[in-house]
Amino acid sequence: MLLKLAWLNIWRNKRRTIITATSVFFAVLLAIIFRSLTDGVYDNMIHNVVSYSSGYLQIHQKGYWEEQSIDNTFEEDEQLYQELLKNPKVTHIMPRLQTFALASYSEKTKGVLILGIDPVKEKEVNNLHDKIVAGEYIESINDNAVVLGEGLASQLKLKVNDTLVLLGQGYHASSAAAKFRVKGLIKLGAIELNNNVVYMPLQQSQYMYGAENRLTSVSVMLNKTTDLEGLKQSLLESIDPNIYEVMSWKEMMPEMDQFIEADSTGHYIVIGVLYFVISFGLFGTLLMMIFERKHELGILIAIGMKKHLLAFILLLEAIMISLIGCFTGVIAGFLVIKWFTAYPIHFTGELKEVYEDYGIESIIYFSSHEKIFIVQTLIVLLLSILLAFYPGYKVMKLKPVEAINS
Amino acid sequence: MLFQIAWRNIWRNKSRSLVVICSIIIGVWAGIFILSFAWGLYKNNIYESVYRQLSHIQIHHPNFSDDNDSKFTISNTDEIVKKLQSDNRIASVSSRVISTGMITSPTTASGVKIYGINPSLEVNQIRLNGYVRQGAYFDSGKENEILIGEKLAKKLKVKLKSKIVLTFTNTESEIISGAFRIGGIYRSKNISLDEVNVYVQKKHLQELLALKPSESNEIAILVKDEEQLDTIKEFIIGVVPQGKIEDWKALSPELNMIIESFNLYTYIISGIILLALTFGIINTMLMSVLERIRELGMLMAIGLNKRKIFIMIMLETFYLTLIGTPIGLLIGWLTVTTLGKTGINLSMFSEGLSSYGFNSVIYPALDQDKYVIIVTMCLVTAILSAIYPAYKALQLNPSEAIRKI
Amino acid sequence: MAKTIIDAHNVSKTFNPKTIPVHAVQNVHVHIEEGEFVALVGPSGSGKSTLLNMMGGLDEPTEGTVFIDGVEITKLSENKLIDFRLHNIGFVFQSFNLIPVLTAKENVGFVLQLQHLPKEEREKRVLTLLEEVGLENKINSKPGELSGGQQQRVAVARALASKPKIILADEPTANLDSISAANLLDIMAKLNKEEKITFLFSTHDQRVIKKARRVITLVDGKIVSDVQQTPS
Repeated sequence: MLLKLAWLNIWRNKRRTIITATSVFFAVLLAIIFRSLTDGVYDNMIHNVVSYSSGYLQIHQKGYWEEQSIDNTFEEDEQLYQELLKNPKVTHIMPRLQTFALASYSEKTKGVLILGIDPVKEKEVNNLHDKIVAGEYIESINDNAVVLGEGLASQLKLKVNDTLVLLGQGYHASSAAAKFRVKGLIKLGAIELNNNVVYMPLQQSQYMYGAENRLTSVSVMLNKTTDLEGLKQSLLESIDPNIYEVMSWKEMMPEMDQFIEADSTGHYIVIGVLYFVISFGLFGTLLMMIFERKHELGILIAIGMKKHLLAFILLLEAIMISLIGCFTGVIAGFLVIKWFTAYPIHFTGELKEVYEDYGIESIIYFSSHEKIFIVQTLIVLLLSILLAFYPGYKVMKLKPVEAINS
Repeated sequence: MLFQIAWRNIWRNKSRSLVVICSIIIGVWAGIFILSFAWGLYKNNIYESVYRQLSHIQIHHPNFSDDNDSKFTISNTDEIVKKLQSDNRIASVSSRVISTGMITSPTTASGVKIYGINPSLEVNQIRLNGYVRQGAYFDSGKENEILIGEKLAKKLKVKLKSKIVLTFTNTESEIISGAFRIGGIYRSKNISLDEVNVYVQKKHLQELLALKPSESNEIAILVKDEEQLDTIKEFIIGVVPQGKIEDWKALSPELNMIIESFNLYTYIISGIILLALTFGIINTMLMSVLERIRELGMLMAIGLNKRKIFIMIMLETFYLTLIGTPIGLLIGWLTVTTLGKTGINLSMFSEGLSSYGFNSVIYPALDQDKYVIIVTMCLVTAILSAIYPAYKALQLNPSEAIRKI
Repeated sequence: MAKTIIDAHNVSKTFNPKTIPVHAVQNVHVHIEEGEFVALVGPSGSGKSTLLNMMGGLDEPTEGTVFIDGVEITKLSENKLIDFRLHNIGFVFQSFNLIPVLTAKENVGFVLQLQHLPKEEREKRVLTLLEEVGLENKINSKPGELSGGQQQRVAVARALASKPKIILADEPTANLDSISAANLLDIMAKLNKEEKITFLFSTHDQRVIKKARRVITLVDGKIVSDVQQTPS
């Protein structure tokens, strides 16, 4: 009965209801967009960074991370690949043999990072072949050539088709030395990588290090919105934990996690301020509603309506209006984010160049994680319900005679 | 008279006017706070990079940064350093020798950048002594002492006093190996650099590289007032005409990216907040207009034309804005000044941060011109928000309005 | 023969013409001459207010024309109409007559200010007007501090301020007690006689109707009688 009364009441003055619901609507919409934007930026950044480096998750020989030596490698295992790819959230896997060596060309010598990769699988993930600035990309896992970071090449003063000499420590303390033709130069955004990396077909690097069929890691790529820790657990269950270890990018690149953590903590403060502004807008609307209805409320009390009942009806009304606003807000938020996902905002000017230099897509990416919709809507709903207690409080304090005469 | 009516109108419904005034106060405050907070966060990054790593200005041999080869030196550095130190706009100066090579422990090897530093000068420059976690900052007096990062130590599985070998090429392109003993382990706030930067005595590295004592690869300069950066750069060109002089912005394009992205997102976020403010004001002013339909109808009947009604509503909002803005400005300024002294400890909000040892205290700060921008933005927003309600008032038909009497 | 001041010719007003048409006023002809003191009477919903508003240029007829002092106001643009009202017609409404934030003096003065009258002249005229309605000692009171009758008298003074040819009053006494109502009517009658201002007011109050010299009765949007009478 009370519900019905409240429902009828809110439609009696449509204009007021619409104005109030609009406040809630925009509150939900803005909160969702804000969160989607900030989360989306990180998701995108993480996705781009991990696709060049560790992958979202990496599988190593147990103990490898503690002691990153070529001796802690494991044998390639087709069954492991199958097991990983069986998980529907895993999009790609990248087997790698990652080592260090001294690289020299004529008089120059430099310590470098050797990444033994599967060129085909790698380019599916991070479009490595698009980053080639001179020469060509390596084609297969036994191509007898290497691709160098452009920065490294300029330090070694070497060009495409020159021969690079590599010297390192091989499997079981053997010595590893080999000569390779430089097939291409690659420009990478991450300066460290650009100045240090040598990409080598996987089988060539295994051969050079005397580590046939051995890998240091298998990198696993996922969808941007996958629950990282959950997936790590489920992968751990599906493979032998006595042989392998699974690590997330957060464990492998704590500094990036730290940077994001710091930045998103900042965003918590900012979104707090946003909630504050939103609450105030809502509060203002509710306050107006009470002013407008003072007369009517006074009459209701005068004719014998109990104050707490009236307060309860007002609360119900406010909750209903909030629900309408939240509901429409979520739909609009969903549509806005769908729109921006389909037609992303592109950066322009200097920022675009900087981002592209870093190999990050120069778009503003919106996250469409369902968690955002649920959490933001609940927060705004909670806020508006809390605020809705105010009209009730006002009613409890209302003096009918004054109200009627107002 | 219109001004007077508008002014008195806003005091008729005090609560409503207070709601709008408070919205504006909150809008101005929120704008100031968020911008200053973002600025503080970003300054934190810059401060860390500039004062503990890059310095304001670096001088190299023109070929050095391309090749990273130690043979590209600046000669007579002692003289240059002295000359620069005597300038009172410059806070500190130090010179370094730099080589890249490999560090080898009994278990593994890693690529490193080797800095030969003058420990006493660097106390004022990168202040590495403050980051030493274990051991001491070059106090043994032995020339083969080395300072390495905690992360690298972990990777190499070495401890204090462990012996490690550095391998690099000298200026004659010969491969040189030198044994060093770890005298200290440091941890800076940039963990990824901790893994690659190692520090040794400059004199010793010069000998190993076959450099003369007066030759250095890098001169780093901290200035007292960053405003004077450009004029100081001019001055340095006069002192070291053969050198390549770069400021921190040129040295670290990454930093530039952080700044650029930060600016962009800050503006987006401020935009969202202003939008939220807009809806608050539109709603309240709309209610105020709709509530007074009959009164507005009467005003039209007695001869106020629509332009005047429009002006009246706009004036009301304008007055409210005029009251709210200075208060918001004051509160915002007080917040920034207070928090700028005490700082905001982010670790309060995130346990993860403190465990990383990240510098989690942010000192909000804001330039004067940013205040002006925010105030202008809020003013414009408020006035724009009033247009719709005022326009709504224009659409009133006097007879219809009056019929509601 | 006195000259025609209001000539409403074949005036009709239909609300919601597209959905559920309500014919508030249907093909009405009214002639009012200068100096008349006319009551427009009828039950509520008979179209009194609508007719009055149309004759005052507040509302546009769906059909027909209205001439005031020879000007076809139904053809004026909105802004011209506002200006025309300002100089030719004074209004008194049932309630919400005064600008709540202004004092009695300022309320009356406001209209004069809209006509750009110099300040001194304005002050003088405001005082005279308020004296005429018997409120010389309430000039600095705000509407909230005045009784209903006093508020209506201020409204009359304000309606007079622009020296209009006509004053239209829509149920001016509806919210007043009988003494205040009589008082207001007396003032109106006096002004009608002394200043030669045409008064046209709607009412359903018998005591007010008695004071009129001409009574037009409206039922269901049509004039059913139009009689001259001697006010009592």
